[in-house]
Amino acid sequence: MNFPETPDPIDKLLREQDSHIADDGFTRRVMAGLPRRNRLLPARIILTLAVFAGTLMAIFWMPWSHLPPLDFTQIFSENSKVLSAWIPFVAVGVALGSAIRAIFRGEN
Amino acid sequence: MSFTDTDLIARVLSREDHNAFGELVRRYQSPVRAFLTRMARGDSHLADDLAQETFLKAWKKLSTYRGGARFSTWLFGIAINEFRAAARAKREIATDDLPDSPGESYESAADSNVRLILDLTEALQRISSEERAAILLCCQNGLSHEEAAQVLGCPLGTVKTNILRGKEKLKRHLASD
Repeated sequence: MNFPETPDPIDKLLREQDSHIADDGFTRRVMAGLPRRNRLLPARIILTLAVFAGTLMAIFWMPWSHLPPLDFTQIFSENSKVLSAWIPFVAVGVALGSAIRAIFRGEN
Repeated sequence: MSFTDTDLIARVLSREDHNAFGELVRRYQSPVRAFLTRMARGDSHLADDLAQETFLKAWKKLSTYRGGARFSTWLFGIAINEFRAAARAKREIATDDLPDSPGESYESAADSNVRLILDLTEALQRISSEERAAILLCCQNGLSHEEAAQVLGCPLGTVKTNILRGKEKLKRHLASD
């Protein structure tokens, strides 16, 4: 506080006023009304754009026509061409899924 | 262990720590609400709404607090802006529109000192909001004239003039009562 050393009567009276106000739930009400800080918003926008771009790239650039039918009997055989062909598709799907999940959970 | 305002602000900004912000609200709710109650001429409901909005704005804008001024000074700046916006929207708390009688919370005055304080409270309602704000910030909340000028967004000379002029008016009102 920064009061002068010789206050005039008005200053003295003002300071004598009991201006303390009890909390009475005020802090709780304020805290209940706090919105999420928008600090995450730019990150979320960037992530959304990245997912959008990634989805477009996956649609147009991935070799969908060369994707072999999903044959579980061959997938786990040695030197399986089915497994190696599906790995990039699964990886892209998992990456996009994780990114979409992060967007909705508000993660960085 | 007690954290400084700077510690608490850092925790809010780095970890979005609600408890740290809650502590800031607990620390400053009383001066901010008291200031706004006097600015709103004793309307504690309006003052509480404005105070709540003040702290919400503080939460949203905390990253813009540079630490050059005291946190309380920064907070009073938001509070006065909230009051001015409400005053523009609600003409009933403008300076020309005085209530006929003091508010209900002032009715139980007994001894002369309390009476004098209540007279002062009433007299405060009869000066302009800018004079009232300058007097309350400097004389009641202990802000320096420079800090008050920062809060009110006006030149230092204006603050000094408003305080002098406001006090003269208060003395006249108290003498006439």
